[in-house]
Amino acid sequence: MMSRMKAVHIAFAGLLAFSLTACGSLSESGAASGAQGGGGRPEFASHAASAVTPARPRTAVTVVYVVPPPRQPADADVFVQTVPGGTLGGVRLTQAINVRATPLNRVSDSSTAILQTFDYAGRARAIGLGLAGNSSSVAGRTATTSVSIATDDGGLYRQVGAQIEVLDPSFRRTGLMNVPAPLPGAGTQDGQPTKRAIRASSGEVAAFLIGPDGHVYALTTNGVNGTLADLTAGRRTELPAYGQILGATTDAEGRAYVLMRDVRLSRNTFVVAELDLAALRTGTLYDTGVGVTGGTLDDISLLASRQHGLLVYAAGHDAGGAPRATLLRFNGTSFDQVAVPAASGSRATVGVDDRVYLYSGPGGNRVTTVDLDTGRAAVDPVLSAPEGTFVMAVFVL
Amino acid sequence: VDCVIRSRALIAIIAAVLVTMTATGAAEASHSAWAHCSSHWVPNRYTRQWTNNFYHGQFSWFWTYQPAVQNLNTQFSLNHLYPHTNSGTSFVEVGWYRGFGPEKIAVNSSFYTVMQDSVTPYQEKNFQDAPQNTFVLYEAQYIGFNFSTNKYIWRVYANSQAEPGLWTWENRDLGMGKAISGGETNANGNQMIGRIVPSHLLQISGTWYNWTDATMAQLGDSTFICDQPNVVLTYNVRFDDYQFNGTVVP
Repeated sequence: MMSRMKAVHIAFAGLLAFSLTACGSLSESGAASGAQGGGGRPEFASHAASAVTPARPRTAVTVVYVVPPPRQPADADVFVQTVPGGTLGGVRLTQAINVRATPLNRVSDSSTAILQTFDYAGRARAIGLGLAGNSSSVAGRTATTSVSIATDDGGLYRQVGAQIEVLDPSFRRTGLMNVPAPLPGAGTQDGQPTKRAIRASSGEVAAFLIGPDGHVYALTTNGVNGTLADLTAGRRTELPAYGQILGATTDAEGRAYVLMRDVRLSRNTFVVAELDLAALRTGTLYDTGVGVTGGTLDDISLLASRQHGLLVYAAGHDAGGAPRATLLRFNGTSFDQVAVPAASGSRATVGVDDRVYLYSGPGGNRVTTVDLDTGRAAVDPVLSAPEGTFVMAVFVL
Repeated sequence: VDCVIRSRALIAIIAAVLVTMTATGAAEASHSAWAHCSSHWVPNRYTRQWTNNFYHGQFSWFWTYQPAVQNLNTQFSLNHLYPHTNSGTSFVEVGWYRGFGPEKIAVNSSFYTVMQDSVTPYQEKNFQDAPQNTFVLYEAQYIGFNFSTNKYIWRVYANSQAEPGLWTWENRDLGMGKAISGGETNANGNQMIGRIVPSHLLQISGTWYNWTDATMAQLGDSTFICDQPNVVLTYNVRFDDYQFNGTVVP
């Protein structure tokens, strides 16, 4: 009676193995059902890694770190330091335990980054980090979700319960809409039926995206299916089987990329799906080759660099508790591995300087930078937080 | 009449699919559950109640005894509770089951726990037999955050709140969870019976609340219920004193 999937899970328990083979294209799935942008096979499947605009020197690196509480559960103190010569040096935030930076999930520049800190109750506090001297912070704004995105004018889209709230730069609400609900359906996992099923109309925002035209998109999921909605233009398309979305990003050409587990496939590896934002069409599906075949996977990120295209970063621990890390670079058809130290951290950020910054988790108070031109990865002593703390977010703006 | 005929035809088709999948060994028989009310086909049958708000902990006394399970090697019947995320893709679960488990064929009702998050596939652990014909405590409790892995720590308890509990999970997504309690089975003909008394509790930031109508109103929350049509209930009480007794029919 034991399913194949369960047998695989048990057989591989105790060993983390990020398999790095078979990183090729899986399918060319064509238009998603219900797409309003027209049918036909997408034509952007064979592009090379995005190389859009030259990198510019970094202006400031903001490091957010926490001092763990002496015993759990308790609030942790959160600090923000900007190096060098930044605008928010020494700001101290309290009563927050987990910090996730909203990814600057587009290659184009962002005038404002939104830092979110989460207290242990899971409520979000949004703090605007200004650039070029225009610093500001707005703390204490709570929400029941962790997903938001900053617009070019400094406004904010965020999910609050079953709705999406639109805020202006001073955090005044200017709009409210329902979360676009994906199609209901019986759940599947790794190609096998499970008892998971989602009630109709349930859905949550997995990611917000901003296209090159400035439109804001919501990528929603209900655990079984997904939806891509252009919130600016009021258009949407269904994304069948986009049920477990880990992250998304965009490039300057109007393509979006979604990191997810394809619930229709009998595989345990994560895939990257390509979407055409303007046409609201799905494109090629690429297998990262990264999966959880034992041990633990602590985090996995999809990143967009300016000169080196798509990146996937995965970190976890093996059965013995030793940290493992894998950085992959998309070559247009598959993923190549970039060597990084195993204990670099569980999270990654790409800066406007096109470097990859690795931090958090086993990285402790350290920030490791990766130069993709040379392949060199090293701890940056200037960015390191005090001993005993944990870096939770890095902005390079 | 046409509707009935169509419904029966649909049920027959679904049954045929079920039989086929069982024959090929493809059907999933896991104890984890995410199934709010849905008219769509799911492999398992269930009755349950759940909240709309998020909580740090959930505590219940389940009457633990021996439901009739036709084939202990392939089928199960259980009671469980599990805080979960809104999409249901992440949860921590604890309860008792009788019948099939991936690590054990439970001739007598036994403890089990399950975890899944957005990067970790379904994991189930099976444990020793539960005390029979008595109320046994079950609890899922958020206890902290692991900065080395960036995951929330949840501990589950069964029969005793003594540390270190039944098992400790780390979950990437579940800082708080929507509460859910109920029963589930994976086959027609099995009994699905449960009694959750004398207390059924929800916790926020260290404070426990009785899961009652009054508490729901106080917390601005609502309790939702669902009994799949396949579950014929002979007795069903909700909220703090949650009881059900039924048999699954085709």
